Amino acid sequence: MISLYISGDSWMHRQPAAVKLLAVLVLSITVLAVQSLIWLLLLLVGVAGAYNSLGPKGRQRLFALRFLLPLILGLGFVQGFIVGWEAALRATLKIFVMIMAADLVTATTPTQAMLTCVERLIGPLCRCIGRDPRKISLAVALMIRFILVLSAQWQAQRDAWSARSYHKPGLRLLIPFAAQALSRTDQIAESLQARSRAHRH
Amino acid sequence: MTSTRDLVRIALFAALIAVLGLIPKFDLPFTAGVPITAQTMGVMLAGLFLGSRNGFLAIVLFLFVVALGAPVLSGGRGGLGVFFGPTVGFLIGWAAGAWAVGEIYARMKRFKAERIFINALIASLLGGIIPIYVFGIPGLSLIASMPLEKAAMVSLIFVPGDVIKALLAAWLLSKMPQKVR
Repeated sequence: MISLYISGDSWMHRQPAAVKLLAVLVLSITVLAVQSLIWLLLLLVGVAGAYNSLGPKGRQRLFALRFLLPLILGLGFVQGFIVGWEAALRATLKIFVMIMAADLVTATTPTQAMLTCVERLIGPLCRCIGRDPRKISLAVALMIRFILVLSAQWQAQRDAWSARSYHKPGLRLLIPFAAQALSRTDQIAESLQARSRAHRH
Repeated sequence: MTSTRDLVRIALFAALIAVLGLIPKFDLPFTAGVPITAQTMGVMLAGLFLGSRNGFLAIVLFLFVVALGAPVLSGGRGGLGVFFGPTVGFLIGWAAGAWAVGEIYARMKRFKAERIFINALIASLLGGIIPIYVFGIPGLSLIASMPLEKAAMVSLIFVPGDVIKALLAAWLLSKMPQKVR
């Protein structure tokens, strides 16, 4: 499954997920408190430097973030009129720094590592209230699998329609699509339950 | 307790929202970024089909997987960065919205069960639109340090699109065979 993780072996990649998440937390509190434009600019440069340290893929990723520019610059521009340019610049810098820092965590932490980290953090809490933390992993795995299944199912139904009709499928196809998807979940739930019972015996 | 069947359905709807994100969105030129996408319809569908609790969980699962690094938000976005951006309020609103849609629909069903389309429509319009903006607009205002009225002005242009989605979601539910609803 495509993920936003960039494979590599940088110093950031080697940090455990929990450390990185904590760092983001600390950074967000810091950024909230900092008012000096100089400091914010330094932070921005620092974060950009961190991307750079990931190598060419890191620079690519930084470049990919440019989709954010219109929104944030637009907002900054609007604010410039309302609250003044300095405040607008400050707010814009803060957003950039935070989004990039958080994105860096995603870029340097494989999905599975994040999941394991969360499970470890939430595990004790789950068990306290009597829930099974492994259900989280199961849910994530199922969701990812279903994305593939649903895309394939849609494609198959479109093809079946196109084989029978000259017209484009359009929205009506959603009805059998949804109905089939839902009945499929019941089949899957049954087989999952059957398997878990089998394991217990 | 979440039964296996519930778990599977929750995962399915979370996946559905991801798949809806693949449908290209229209971009009104001056709004670059505050996303209104077919995904919001998934929020309504989750609430309608799964009820408030499981619909809510479906959105939470979806958001969790986004946070883990899956590019399933409309436009191929994802990762932790999204939760620090201006649209985070709307994402939280999605969870609240699915819950609200489920609750309203359940109430309407008790009131008058036969009128599925109308019930679903009212649930989708009220539950699927209001909570999303109730969380989204202040979120935008907070993160972008924008006064509330400006944030509201920028965001509310999307409501007509949401109304269409509500109609579509209600229509879809009303067309489902009995045993699947």
